[in-house]
Amino acid sequence: MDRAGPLTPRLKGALSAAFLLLLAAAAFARADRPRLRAERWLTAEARLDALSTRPRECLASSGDRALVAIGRTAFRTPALLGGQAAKAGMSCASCHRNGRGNPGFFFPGLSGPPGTADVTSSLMSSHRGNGVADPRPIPDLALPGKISRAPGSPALGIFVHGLVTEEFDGAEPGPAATSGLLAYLRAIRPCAAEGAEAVTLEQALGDVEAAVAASAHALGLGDRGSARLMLAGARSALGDIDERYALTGLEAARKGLREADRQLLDLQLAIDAGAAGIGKRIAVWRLPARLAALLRRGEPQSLYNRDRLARLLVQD
Amino acid sequence: MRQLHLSAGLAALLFIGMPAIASDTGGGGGGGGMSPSASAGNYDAAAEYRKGIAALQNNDFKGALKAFRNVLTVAPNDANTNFLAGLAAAGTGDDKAASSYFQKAVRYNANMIPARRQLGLTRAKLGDTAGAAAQRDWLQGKLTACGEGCADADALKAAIADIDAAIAAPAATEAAPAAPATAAPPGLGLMLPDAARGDLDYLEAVSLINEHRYADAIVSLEAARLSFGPHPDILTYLGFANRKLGRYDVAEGYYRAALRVYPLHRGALEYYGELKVERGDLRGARANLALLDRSCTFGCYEAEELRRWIALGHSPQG
Repeated sequence: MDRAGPLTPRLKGALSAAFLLLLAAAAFARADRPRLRAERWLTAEARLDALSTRPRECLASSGDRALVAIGRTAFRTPALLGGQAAKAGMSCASCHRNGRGNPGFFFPGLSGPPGTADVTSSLMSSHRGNGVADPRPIPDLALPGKISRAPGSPALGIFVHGLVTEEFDGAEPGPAATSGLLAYLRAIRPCAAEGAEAVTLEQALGDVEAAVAASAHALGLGDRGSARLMLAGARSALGDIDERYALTGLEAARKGLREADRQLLDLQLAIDAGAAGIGKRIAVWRLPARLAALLRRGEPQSLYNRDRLARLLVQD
Repeated sequence: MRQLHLSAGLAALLFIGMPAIASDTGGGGGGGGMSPSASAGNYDAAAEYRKGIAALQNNDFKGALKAFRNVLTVAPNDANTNFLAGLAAAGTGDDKAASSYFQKAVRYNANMIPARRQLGLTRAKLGDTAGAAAQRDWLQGKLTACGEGCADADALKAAIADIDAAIAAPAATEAAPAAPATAAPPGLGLMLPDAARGDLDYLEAVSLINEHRYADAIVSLEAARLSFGPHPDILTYLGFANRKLGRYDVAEGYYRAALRVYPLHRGALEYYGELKVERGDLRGARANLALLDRSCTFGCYEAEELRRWIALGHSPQG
């Protein structure tokens, strides 16, 4: 697919050569332990548990499942948010893990005690800063809150729109992403048997596949922006896997993940270009079976293994 | 310290005019989102700068000088680094080198009072009364213009008094035994910036930018820069704040400086690309976007934001 736009072949060649040189420089990276993105907003004490387990997710069985799937992906996609949050790699799920709370959340300048966030801080928002440090406990979205989630009430839609575009300076989400977020938020329920579940590769692979399927669905609804966002969610989910394989001996898996990411970027750019048949290309996209098998074989050696993760975290 | 020499053509393409030091690909550099103290390790220059400060705090002047010299290979015009290199050189007893570093510090930041003071003291120590007096006169002129009530008045008066005292006792260097080869400059501890303070300055700057208080943000960023040196996140935001104030050339200088420290810095590539869009240079903006797309494995907000700018031909905010 041609996604180079107006760059001349000469410029493209020069960029390629330059990029290789830059990568060569990056290969001399400062020796440091691998770091998981979520470590940035977790207290040191909470890291091991928060990175190896999470609250169980329970969703209502009724409703438009495809729309809920779009919302679930948007909820986990940093690109939904803007400004500092997106740059730090944060999504809604950073504060609300599986739609619940996050008692270990701590972001400098935004949090008071762990598990709190100031939603009227100028650090994250160019609209909502009130000049006062007033962090509040992060709510569990499975429990009733101040905002009505009744299907007929407009309150949730107004709240979510303000949260995305003002509290986090995000771009206007597409209609499918907006409807999906509302559907997902309305579907979150307390679990009959509450508790934690292990963070696993299988879940992450499921997130990738679900995000790509959600992209195809959004495109079927005629919403290219949301389709693009869903692919951003799939790419972010691939990144979540990749960072757990940043260990010696797992290089082949990471290479495969980067190739898969490149394919998803190409699909995003094809959406931008209005390429013919893009819906079908997205619908048939799958993570290569060989890569999935490679990842599964490597999972015990990866940072999905709690013991390995624990050994990594104590290196600080 | 690793160096990468690019060919002249590529260097021009990548806005790099001198050897570049690249670093970790992990964080990628957002120009925000993380405290500088947390991300400094991702960038060799910022890490070396903090290493130099730590060495100064331990009176390891040779180690400090080595670290600051490393920083200066990618950020030769950084006033703070030149100032601290001067302190380190003074600590080793090399007053001529110290004077040279202080001279560069005041060249790149004419209003850097501690550097003016140290330059005056060092020139007096070297027997260059006229050179010392020149610094004293500059400080006096600043004080006169500034007025008694200005924020820098006390610092200016103290610096003037110190230089006057040094000029009044020029023979001391001849009559008295030479100073020890390694001695901490007086008041060294007070001149060394603190990382925690720098983090607060940086976070404050980000908040000020979000409040569109760009001039105030620049003050906070300069304070953070004292703690972290040529950290590309700080340089990028200095570029951004200056751009918002309409100082496009100044902004471009900061973006280029950030990219010299880390050529794949996401925030600098994005904001420099936006500046190019504002200047009508869509081709240049697309070159930045191409670099972002190739370096932002698994996607990044900076690429998406620049893509929106290019698609619209202007800021998405209108």
